[in-house]
Amino acid sequence: MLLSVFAGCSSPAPAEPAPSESVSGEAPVSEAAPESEPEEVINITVSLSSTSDEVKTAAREKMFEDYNNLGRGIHVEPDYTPWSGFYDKLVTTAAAGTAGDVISFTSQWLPAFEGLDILVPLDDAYNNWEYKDEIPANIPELYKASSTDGNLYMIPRFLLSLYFVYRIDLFEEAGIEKVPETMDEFLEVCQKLTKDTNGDGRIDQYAYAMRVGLGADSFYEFALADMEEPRIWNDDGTLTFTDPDVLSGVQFFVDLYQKYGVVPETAPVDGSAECVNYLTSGTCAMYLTHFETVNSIIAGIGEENYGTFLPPAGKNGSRFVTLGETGTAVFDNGDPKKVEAAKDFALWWSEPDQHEQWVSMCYTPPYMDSVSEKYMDNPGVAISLEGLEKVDGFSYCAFPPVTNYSGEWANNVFPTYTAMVLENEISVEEYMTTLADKLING
Amino acid sequence: MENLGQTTGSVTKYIDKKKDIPFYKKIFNEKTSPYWLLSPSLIFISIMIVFPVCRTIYFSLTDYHVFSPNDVHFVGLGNYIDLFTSPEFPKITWNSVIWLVGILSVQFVLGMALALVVRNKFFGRKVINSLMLVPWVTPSVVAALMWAWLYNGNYGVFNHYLYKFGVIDDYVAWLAKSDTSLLSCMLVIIWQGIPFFCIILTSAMMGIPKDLYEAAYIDGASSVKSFIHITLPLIKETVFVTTMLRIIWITNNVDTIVIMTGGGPGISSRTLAVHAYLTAQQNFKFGYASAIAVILALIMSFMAFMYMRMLRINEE
Repeated sequence: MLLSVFAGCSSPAPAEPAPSESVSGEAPVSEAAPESEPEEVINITVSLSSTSDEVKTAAREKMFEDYNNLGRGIHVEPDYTPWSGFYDKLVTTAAAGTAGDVISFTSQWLPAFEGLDILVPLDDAYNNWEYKDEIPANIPELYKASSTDGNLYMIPRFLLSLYFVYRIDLFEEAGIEKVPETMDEFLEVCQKLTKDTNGDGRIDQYAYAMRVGLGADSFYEFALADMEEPRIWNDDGTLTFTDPDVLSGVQFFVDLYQKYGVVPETAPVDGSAECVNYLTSGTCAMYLTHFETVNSIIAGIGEENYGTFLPPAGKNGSRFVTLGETGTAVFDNGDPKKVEAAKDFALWWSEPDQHEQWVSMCYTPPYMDSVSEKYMDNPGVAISLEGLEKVDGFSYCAFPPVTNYSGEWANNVFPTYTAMVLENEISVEEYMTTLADKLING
Repeated sequence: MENLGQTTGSVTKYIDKKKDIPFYKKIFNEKTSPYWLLSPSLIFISIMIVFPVCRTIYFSLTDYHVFSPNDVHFVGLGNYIDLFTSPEFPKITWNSVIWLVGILSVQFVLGMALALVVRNKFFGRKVINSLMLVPWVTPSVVAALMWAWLYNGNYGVFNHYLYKFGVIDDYVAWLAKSDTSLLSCMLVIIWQGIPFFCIILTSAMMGIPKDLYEAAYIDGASSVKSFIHITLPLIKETVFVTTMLRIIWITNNVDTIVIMTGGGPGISSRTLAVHAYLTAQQNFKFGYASAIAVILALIMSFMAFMYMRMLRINEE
C-alpha cells in the first residue's frame, strides 16, 4: 500500500482542535447574530492554475463555494491563470506585492519565493491541525527541506505519480497484445504504432506524445531507467545527470525523436495541451502523464479506450517513477487578518473531505488513510498507486530536484535545452551537463 | 530741464506701469509661455521615458533579480560582459539581423508594389483597399495564434496543401524546427506589415501632381523612369518616416515570436528583444535583461543615425 511506503505515516489520531475550527465556531456568524451589525467579511484570493478539465474546475468551484458557505466570515475568490504562464505571473505578482493570499503550487517553486519575504511560516498552524497525522510525514519534510530556513511554508494538498496513458483501440489495431515492460519492448511498440493509416505515403500516427514545451520536465522515466538503482542525487549531493547510464537513457529518449521518428516532429514545442490533443485526436497513441489529464483524455477517447502502464524498465531491469506534489502556501500581503484567514482556508482545503472530493473527481492518488482505503479499487486511482507501490522498491520513485533555480529550470531551461538536443544542436552530454549546471548554479 | 522732467516722468510712469502688471502676467508672458505650455509634455516625457531609461541603465549595472529585490549589488559592466561572452549571443544577434532585414525588405518591396497597383483607379479598388487593412488591424495575438494553427505540423492547412500539390514530401513542423521557426514567424509580420507600407505609400503617391507624369510621358519617359525620377524622389520623405517606424516596430516585436514559438525551439527564433523579454519575465534576471535592452537601444540608435546620415548624403 502506498501509505505503508511513507515512513511515519499512521492512522489519524485525536488531536487538538484545529485553529480553523476555533475561528469558525459552532454556528455560522450570519445565522448566530442575524440582527446585529454584519461582521466584517475578510476577502481572500486564491491563486491557482486554470485547466480545461471541466470536472476539475467544477470540483474546485464546489470547494470554494462550500468554504464560503461555512460562515467563517471569510470569502474566498479564485484567481485562475493558465498553467503555461502561471509560474511567471506568480513570481512577478509576488515581487510586486499583488499576488493572491493563498497560492497553490509545487515545492519546486518554493525557493523562488523565499527571497521575496512573502511566505508565511505554517509550522504552528500545521502542528495544531487535527489532520496532520494523516499526512505522510515525508511530504512536509520535503517542504521543509525545500526551504532554506527549514520552516514549513506549504500545506500538502495532493500527490501524483507519472505513468503512461495509452489508447487501447490503437494498440489493438496495431496488434499489440501487452503493454511494454522494458525499454526495448517500448521501442518495439512505438515502431508498430507509428504508421501511415490512410495510405497516402505519409506518417500520420505517432507512438508517443513527447512533452518538451513550456512547463515540462518529464524525462526522468527514460533518463534514469538504465541505472541499476535509479536516483536523481548521488550520495555526495551532486546530480546523477552525467552518469554513463543516465546518458544512455537520455540518448534513448532523444533517439525516439531523432533516430526512430516515433514522436511527432512538433515535440520540441509541444506542451501538455498539445500532447493531450494528440492522444484524443489519434495522432499519438501514448503519453507520459499523471492524474491531472485523466478527465480530459477520457472525455476525448472514452473510458473504454483509456489504458495505463508503468514506465518500462531499463537495461538493468529497474524502473523510475517521478512523483509530484502540490501544496498550499500563504503569502503575507501586509494584512494580518488576511493572513489568518488564508491559513484557515489553506488547512481546510487539505482536510480529508476535500481530499476525498479531489480523489473521487480527479483521480488524485489518495495519501490520507481515511480516504485511500475507500479508493483502492478505483481504476483511475489504481495506476497512480501502482506506480508508487509496484516499482522495484520505493527508492526508485522520487520528487524532481528542488534547488534555488528549480522553478525556472523546469519552466524555461529544460524546454529550451531539450529542444536543442532533439534538434541535434548540442550533444546529449552537453545537454545533461548544462541541465545539471543550470539546476545548481542558475 | 523741461525735457528732462518729461523723460523722468515717462520712466516713472513706466516703472509704475510695471508695478501694476499682475503676478500671473509676470510668470506667464510671451517669453515664458512656451516653457509653460511645454512643461506638461516635458514632465510626462520625463516620467514616462527619461526615468525608465535611466532606471534601465542603472539596473543594467546591477545583479537585480526578482527573487532577491532587497539584495541588489553593483556589478559594473558585468552583465554586458556576460552577454557578449554568452554562447547564445552570436546566434541571437544573427537572428535579429535576419529578422529585421528580411521583414523590412520584403514588406517594403511588396508594399510598394501593391501601392503602385492600388493608386490607379480600377473596378473594386475600394474593396481591395478595405480588405488590405485586415492584416494590419488584426491584433498580433490573434494573428500569431491563427498562423500557428495554419503552420501546425500535424494538421495545419499549409502542410495539407503543400503536400497535396507535391511541394513537400512530408508534413513539416514549421514552428518546431530550428531551421524554419524564425522564417515562419517572419512571414506573419510580413503579412501584417505590408498594408501599412501600402497605405502610407499610396497616400504619398496620390499627392504627386499628375502633370509631372504627363510631362514625362510626353518627353518619352518609360514607367520605370517615371517611377525612379518622379515617384521615388517625391515620396522619399514618406519612405524615410515609414521605414524608420517599421525598423523600430520590427526590432522591438516580441509578442508574435513569444506566442508562436516562445523563442524556440532552443533559441532558434530568439531575437534580442525576445531575449530581453524572456530574461526578464521568465528568468527574472532584471539586471541582465536591462543590459540586453540597453544594447538593443544603442543598436537601434546607431541604425537610426546611420539611416539619417545616408539620407542626408543622398540629399546633398
